Amino acid sequence: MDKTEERQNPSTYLKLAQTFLSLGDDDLARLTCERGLKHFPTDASLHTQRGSTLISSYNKSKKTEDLIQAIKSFEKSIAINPDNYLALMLSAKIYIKVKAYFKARQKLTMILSSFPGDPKATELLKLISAKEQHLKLVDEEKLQVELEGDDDDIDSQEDQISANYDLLASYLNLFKEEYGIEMVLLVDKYGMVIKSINMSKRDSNRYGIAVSNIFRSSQNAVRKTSLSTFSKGFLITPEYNIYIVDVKGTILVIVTLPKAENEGIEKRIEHYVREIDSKWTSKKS
Amino acid sequence: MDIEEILKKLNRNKHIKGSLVITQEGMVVMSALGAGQNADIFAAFYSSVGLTILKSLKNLDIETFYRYILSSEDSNLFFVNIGKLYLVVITDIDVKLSEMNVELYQIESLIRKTGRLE
Repeated sequence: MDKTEERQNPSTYLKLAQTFLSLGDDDLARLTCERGLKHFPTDASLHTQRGSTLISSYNKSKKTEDLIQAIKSFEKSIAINPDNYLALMLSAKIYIKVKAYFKARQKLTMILSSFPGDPKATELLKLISAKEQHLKLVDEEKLQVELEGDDDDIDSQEDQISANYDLLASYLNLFKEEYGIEMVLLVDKYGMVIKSINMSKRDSNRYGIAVSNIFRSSQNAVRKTSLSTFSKGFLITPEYNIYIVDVKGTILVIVTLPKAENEGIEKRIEHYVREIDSKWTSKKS
Repeated sequence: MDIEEILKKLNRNKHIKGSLVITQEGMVVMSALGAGQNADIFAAFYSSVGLTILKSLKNLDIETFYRYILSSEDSNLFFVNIGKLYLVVITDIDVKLSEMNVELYQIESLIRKTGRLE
């Protein structure tokens, strides 16, 4: 891939921003998102990432302006993709923090309409009701600690994911030569495309978001019906078949033509998972 | 043959742990699940999966899906879209997917013949 192609991919900016964020350089992370947004102003993931970097800045500086800017980014992201879980959840939390309960309720309701029964959204809605009715079930201090704790969780998750991207991406070439494959994506659970090999003219970002929604819904259903842990899905549609594979919390997506050789692709998936497992184990030890 | 008989026939396969037919809205039409499996819970969560799939595919300009196979560590779940109804079949992990797919095409055809889709 040459430099021109790299600039044309929003996930390059995302990855770079996440790396800067993991190194603690919030300003550079934000600037990277903004540079990406100049090229891709309608990319929801970049808006969400910009919001996340601003939350990180706020946690250090406590400047209200950072929160205001973060909210603006999340709102833009939601306007582009109303199902964006991360943007909805983080904006709801900011609205709760600044006591804009009506707006927070609106965002949480949007989450529940896209992700019915989401426990975190349900819990926050109860919290808002309690606050609105002045029942003082949860005191402000506790909420603030909880919010800050969540931001830390997100930071550490991003650190971890960022550190493992290269490993997960390095084996995607295993699928390159397989007949009938249209698209291979590595996507995080919120739908952000980490790496893509796209042989079709379809928009990989749209596939990333759509498949992550199916992935989360499947995970939830499998867990709630006591069928152990969701590991893989295979969706058959009139146009494409789509493999959805959980690889260390990241989603491997393979979009194939109906005439593709499923057996060959499944063998490659097993090979990919095996390789990642072995490298993952040696990396941890 | 009615849906209850069809599910009983299906469940004779030694790899099948249970099966049910639900509406797109999550109502149970007929259930033949094993002990400890709650049909209402299956109907609620898998109709939600169906809704998410349809909504997500719409964003990709794909109108519908035929089936979705979910795998976990110890089970497979076949989720078959039969128009207004979904057929949900839970199997063990040793089932041969190709054989099960053929069997489910036959079962799908039998369910269509019951006229419950009209």
